[in-house]
Amino acid sequence: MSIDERILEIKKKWIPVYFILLMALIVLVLHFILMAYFTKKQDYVNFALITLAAAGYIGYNLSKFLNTTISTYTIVKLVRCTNCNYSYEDTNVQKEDYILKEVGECPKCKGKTLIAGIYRIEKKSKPSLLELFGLKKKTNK
Amino acid sequence: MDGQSILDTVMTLFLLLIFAYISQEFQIWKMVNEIEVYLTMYKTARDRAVAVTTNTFKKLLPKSNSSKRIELEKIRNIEERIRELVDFTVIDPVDLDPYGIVRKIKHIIRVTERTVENEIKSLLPSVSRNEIKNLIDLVDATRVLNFIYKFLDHNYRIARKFKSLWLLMQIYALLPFVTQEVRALENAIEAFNKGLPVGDSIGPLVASKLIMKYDGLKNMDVPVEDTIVTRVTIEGREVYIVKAQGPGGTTGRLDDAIEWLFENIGKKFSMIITVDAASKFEGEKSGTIIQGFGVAIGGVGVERFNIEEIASRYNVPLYAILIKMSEIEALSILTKELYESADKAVSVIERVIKERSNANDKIILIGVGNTIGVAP
Repeated sequence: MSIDERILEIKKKWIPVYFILLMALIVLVLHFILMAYFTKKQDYVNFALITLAAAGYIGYNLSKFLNTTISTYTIVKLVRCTNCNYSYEDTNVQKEDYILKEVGECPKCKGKTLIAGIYRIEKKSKPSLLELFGLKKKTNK
Repeated sequence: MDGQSILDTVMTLFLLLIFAYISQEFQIWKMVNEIEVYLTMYKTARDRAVAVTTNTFKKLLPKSNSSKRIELEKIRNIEERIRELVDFTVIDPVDLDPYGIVRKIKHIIRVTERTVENEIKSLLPSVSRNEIKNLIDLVDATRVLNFIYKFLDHNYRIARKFKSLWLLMQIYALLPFVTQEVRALENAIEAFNKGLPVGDSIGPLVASKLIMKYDGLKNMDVPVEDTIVTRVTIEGREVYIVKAQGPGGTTGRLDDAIEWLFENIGKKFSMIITVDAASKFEGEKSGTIIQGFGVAIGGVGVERFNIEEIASRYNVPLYAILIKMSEIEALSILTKELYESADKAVSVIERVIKERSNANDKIILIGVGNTIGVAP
């Protein structure tokens, strides 16, 4: 588990707390609005505004949690023919692979092929809501 | 002023003091909590690195028909030796009189490198030289992770012991930078374990691309340990390409190779070009190529000092080609973006050679960085 995933794990623990707090604050805001409407008292409007600000703050933090992205990547080797320059990407990278290693014959001209490059292709993924709420385990694709 | 209002003022001041105290205590509590969370993460990263290193060593242990007891003894021995390797320290030479300090630092670095290499060789006698180099890098990364954790933990404990808000604030302020470094080292562990090129390998990769493009393999020589020198012709100029010998993880002995070139090829070089990875600023794009003047070599500075020394002695211009990347990228497996920037760097070098030198000139080009996963 990388440091990013560990940070996400720690953040995940707070998501239900923030969610419950947000719901409670929304209920409270509605209650104050109704009270202000029926009693015509200014105090309830003030309470509603303060509670709304608190709900906004909690909601903002919750949205930040929910928008957390995790970087995943695939390691790829670029194989190139020294004769016809034909090249292709291969995801089957072995521990002994290195740049300029000979890796057999070219499928087109039967010339010598070399590993011209080894690199990673990054992908940013956003965990689903179920994963964030801990209701579903992360699946490694 | 009556008694009641004095009492009110005192009460207000008292309440203010209480609030100030509570606010500070709350701030300390928040910082302590956050530092503890990060320390736990650094500890996990360190433990994971130790586990990966130990497992890699165990996997490379030669298979034998000895009894289970002897095998267990061997594994225990490996674990103990790795713990020793991860904990060892390098003592800087005294700098009260700085004259000759670079020579002393170089001596200490060489002794350290040789000793660690011999230690690993004695543990795994049947393992190839390239793999030994990768294992040295793996042990180095684990050692740095261990040091970071121990150093921060020490400071945190001192801060807690003396309830020092200022010490806590300093640790707290450092957390983003330390976390970046730990992230980078965590990624490095993976790359070194698999022997794959990292961002820092971009210098040797550019050198390697030039060697292949201009057919330099046939003139290749290894005049000093872990470093290759080859001669190619680019735009009618005689270019000597110097890089660490791959694909094992090493940075080579570039200064010794340059000294060898000046002693054996001649003193008349029209320029020395260094190609290296450079730290980017947060707003900059990875893979951006910039040019500079001077020697682009990071680390302690011994090699840079020696090359500057030679270049200034023989009045050779120093040019640098820098490929920008973040600290994390420098130690993680090479990204596609950075890999593609190596081709751009090759064309920039060709242009620099064409514009700043004449036909038949002799030029030195150094591919600086860890050559892990990059041959030759």
